[in-house]
Amino acid sequence: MTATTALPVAIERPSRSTQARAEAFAAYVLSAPAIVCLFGILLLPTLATFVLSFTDWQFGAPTLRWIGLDNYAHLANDRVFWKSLSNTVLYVLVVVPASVLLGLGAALLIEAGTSGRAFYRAAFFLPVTATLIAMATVWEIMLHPSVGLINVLIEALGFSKQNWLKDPDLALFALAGIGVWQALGLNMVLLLAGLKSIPRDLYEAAAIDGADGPWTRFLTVTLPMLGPALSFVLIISAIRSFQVFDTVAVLTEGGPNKATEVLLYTMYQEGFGFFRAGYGAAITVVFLLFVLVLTLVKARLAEKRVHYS
Amino acid sequence: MSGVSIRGVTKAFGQTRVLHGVSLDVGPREFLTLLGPSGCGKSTLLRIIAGLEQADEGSIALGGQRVDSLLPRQRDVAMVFQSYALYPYMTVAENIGLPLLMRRTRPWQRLPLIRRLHPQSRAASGSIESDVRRAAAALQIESYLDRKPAQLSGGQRQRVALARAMVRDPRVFLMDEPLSNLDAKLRVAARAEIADLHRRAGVAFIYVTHDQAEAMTMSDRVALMMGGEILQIAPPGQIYEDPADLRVAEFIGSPKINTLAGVVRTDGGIDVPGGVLSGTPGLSQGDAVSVAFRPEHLQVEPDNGASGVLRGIVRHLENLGSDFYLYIEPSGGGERLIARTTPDIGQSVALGAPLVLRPAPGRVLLFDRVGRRIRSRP
Repeated sequence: MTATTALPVAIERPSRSTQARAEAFAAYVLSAPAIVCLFGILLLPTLATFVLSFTDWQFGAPTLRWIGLDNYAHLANDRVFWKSLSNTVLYVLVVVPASVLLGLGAALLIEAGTSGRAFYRAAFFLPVTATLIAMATVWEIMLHPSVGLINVLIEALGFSKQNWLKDPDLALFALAGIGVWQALGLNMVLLLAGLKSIPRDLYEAAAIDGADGPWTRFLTVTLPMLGPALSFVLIISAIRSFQVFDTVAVLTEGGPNKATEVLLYTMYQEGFGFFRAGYGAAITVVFLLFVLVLTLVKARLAEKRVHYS
Repeated sequence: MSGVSIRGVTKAFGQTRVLHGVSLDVGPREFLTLLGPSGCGKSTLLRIIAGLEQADEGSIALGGQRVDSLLPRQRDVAMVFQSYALYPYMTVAENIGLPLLMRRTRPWQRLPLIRRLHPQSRAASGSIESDVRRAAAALQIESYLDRKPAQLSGGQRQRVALARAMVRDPRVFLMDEPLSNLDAKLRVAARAEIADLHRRAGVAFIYVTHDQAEAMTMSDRVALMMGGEILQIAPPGQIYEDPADLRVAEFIGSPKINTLAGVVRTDGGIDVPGGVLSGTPGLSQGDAVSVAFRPEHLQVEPDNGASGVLRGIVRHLENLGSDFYLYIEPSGGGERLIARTTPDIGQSVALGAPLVLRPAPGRVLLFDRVGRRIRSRP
């Protein structure tokens, strides 16, 4: 390099462009495996799903027919789909605020505490590390109408027993409770990292400036400084709770009377239960649209926070 | 009435004792600098005055009032942090106005809608705005009021931090190395600005730094701290000319003061490696002493065989344009000595040239075995 820069421009030019081309070629060769994987594993399946949603393909069938928007027209009149969509939205609206607020509360308490921090952190994080399918079985026993721990506790407090998973008014909220239990730990850990990154100087400046009451300090320093972490946690929780599936599949199978029918479970039923792959693909596209909107919101928020650093 | 009065303050973090009984009085309009190497406890002392740390023992009084049990907010002090500690999500105006907002409004008055609709709250916001403008004008940052700190340069951020400190007319300004994040040129300009701010504010300033140039140029008095103690408190000129302790003499002054280990002779002179220097009356024979003299007080001349007190060889030359430093290896061994001369004299000296060295009479400082100054008794 140092030798060529000393050469006259006329000679340098062709040699430089050959070199640049060689470098570009090497770059493509080296990144080819990653590009192939990206398309093969992520983008092509998504595209295939999108294309399938315009067909009447049955899972395992040798032929398929292009039916345009028929699947979507069918969706618009499908009561199960609308029930499933509204259940999913309700589930997200319960799980996201509850798990984020409780996660924030836990993070603030752990951060303010002087002893046992590692213990509490690990304890709250345990559900994140556990397999939800296995834990769902444990919850099934906990929620059992006659011998379940929860009903025993409720009765001891003087309330009447509930049939949590069989009562159409309660089943979705019982699942949401499990969802909160599971999501809280991850939210707490992410917010704890956010809290730790707030410079101590700011709290000291606030103390001298007079913003030293717990609530004022929280509003003046903690919450705004936590903004980027908080918006990240909100979006991640929303996406993750949109994907609720395991607990539904293990505990309620969408019942009782479609009370816990959620998008991914409906999609699974259509695609792999009734083998209507094209219809299942259409539900997946609707699901992806929701996730896409959330991702765009997240990108927009991230952009807005750029001036923080 | 004294501005700040510190009595017997001690502080330990776990097993580490950081302050060993510090006492200090700062006048109501005085600019006092706490100067010392990192880890000497100067920042801890400042934070104790601010109320951000609690002293283990001792007391702090501001304007004659004991403040030991008061929160930082109640002490009526302003502090400028090394990192500036500006709130990154607020505009410059909001940053400067926050101390006023917290003092002049109640929490419910800060709610967005009420701030606009409630007449009293609106009046408060108006008075805050005009005070913010006044502080910003004093520091020439009016045109940045709507920006966020991330959009400002280091020097501008530092001014915002100063404006936030001065906006509510505190009774004491505390500054924790406020210039150390600026580049060298800006730092020199900012020194003059802070000194000017002090003159206009007319209140006590306590300024923490490890930079002796900042201490010497801005302060009314300098308190030199080392190892959790104040070694000497004196005006800049005096602390340079008349240090009370060898550690003070060695910390202040650049390049460092020259020192030679010596032993007092029977005739009152002092044996140093490679020669004899004249002592002062009152020394007892056989005492170990340190002989120290500033680089500008070491006179050099070509070694022409005359009977000089000390001899040495020039090992290194530095021309700074205004000054010329000669690094000389003394013939008797020991640390290199430094002589400060004019470039005219310096350029006439060749590397490796033998020189005769004469500490200027009356400019030699003597320190005893533990580093205490031995003053000549008249």
